Amino acid sequence: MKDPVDFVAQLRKTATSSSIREQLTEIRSLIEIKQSNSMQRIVEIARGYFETNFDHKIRDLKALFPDDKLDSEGQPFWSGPKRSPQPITFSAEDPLHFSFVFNAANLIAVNLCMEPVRDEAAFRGLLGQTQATPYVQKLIAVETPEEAKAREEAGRPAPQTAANSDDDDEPVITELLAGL
Amino acid sequence: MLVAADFEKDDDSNFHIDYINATSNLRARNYKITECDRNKTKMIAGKIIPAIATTTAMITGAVCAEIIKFAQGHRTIGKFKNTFINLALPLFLFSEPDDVKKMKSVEFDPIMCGPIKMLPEGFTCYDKVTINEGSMTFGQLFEWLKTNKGVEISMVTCGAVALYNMYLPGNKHAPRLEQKVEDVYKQVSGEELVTGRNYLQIEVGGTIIESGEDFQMPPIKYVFM
Repeated sequence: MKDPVDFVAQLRKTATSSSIREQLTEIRSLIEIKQSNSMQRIVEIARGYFETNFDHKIRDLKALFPDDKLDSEGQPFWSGPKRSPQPITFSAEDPLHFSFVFNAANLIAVNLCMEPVRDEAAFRGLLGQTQATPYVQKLIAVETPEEAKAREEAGRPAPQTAANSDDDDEPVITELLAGL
Repeated sequence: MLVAADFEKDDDSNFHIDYINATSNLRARNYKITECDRNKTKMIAGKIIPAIATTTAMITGAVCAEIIKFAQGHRTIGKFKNTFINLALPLFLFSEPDDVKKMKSVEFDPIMCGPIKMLPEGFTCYDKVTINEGSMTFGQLFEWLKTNKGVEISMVTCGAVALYNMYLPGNKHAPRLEQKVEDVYKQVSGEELVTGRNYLQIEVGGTIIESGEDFQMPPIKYVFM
């Protein structure tokens, strides 16, 4: 990244404040790992990716749309082409879970010009020292396509999706920028 | 320093396909969709389209038929066939291959403005000269060629890399006579030697000492260890 000021300006034009926050957090954690030069930290991050993407985000979605939720027409929300996802709890014993953190962590290591840990036993050792990220429920305002259609017909404006989180994001972004 | 990873499906040690495989299968598990193996992931992510069905299968068959003839001990060139297939026309053409082209000495070559002698007369593209004397300097290499082939060398190349040229102004390459051939190759090409390969294929040019004529010879397999 050659011009940070320009980068942030570009980001502000194209992204919402919550995604700016995510990206900046990402950049900061990358710098942190590079400074600490610690494979242990990368393994933690990789495990974090797993928990965010395959566990926590699914739980967020299920909190919003439980299996027995009915849509405005009284039909079950999870029906037809919509399949209800199940969160996956991380287990280092599961070969697929292990494969994900192993490859994700080593990809990051290669990105940062660090030596990947190819030995699975050694990697397991690092993984054994990581902690599960606690699940904090995130409330996201989502409207289904049907709801959006109904709203447009009624002539109401689109709800501010990120409205409630906007106030939270701005100070964090400022802080992140100062830190960088 | 950060390095962006360029997706490469054919390197099995770079974690790329394995990462994609793990990620997509975990998402599949979220939704209870049938998971797939690494090869399937590689085919989809690498946009590999199986094309064995038609032409490839025919070519494989034609090539195998030729191998069988060879394995049966046939050596008459007329018994072998060169196959041309175009499924769109459709055209299936079998022809007798020519004899391998033999290099002939010429009295006058319009480019060199003089005679060129083949060493040995009538060599083909399948011939090579093997020098298996261990690691050599250019000086030692030239000495070997002088004793065994009776030639004086003025130029050495390896692929697209010029290793030695006697005609440079001020005889710039003279110090290389004392250097190992493979060392100069590394230095000039800026590349490491291929691991596990103990030779370089080099081409030499120069004159025959006895007659002063230019010569051409097959590529040299220079074994340095």
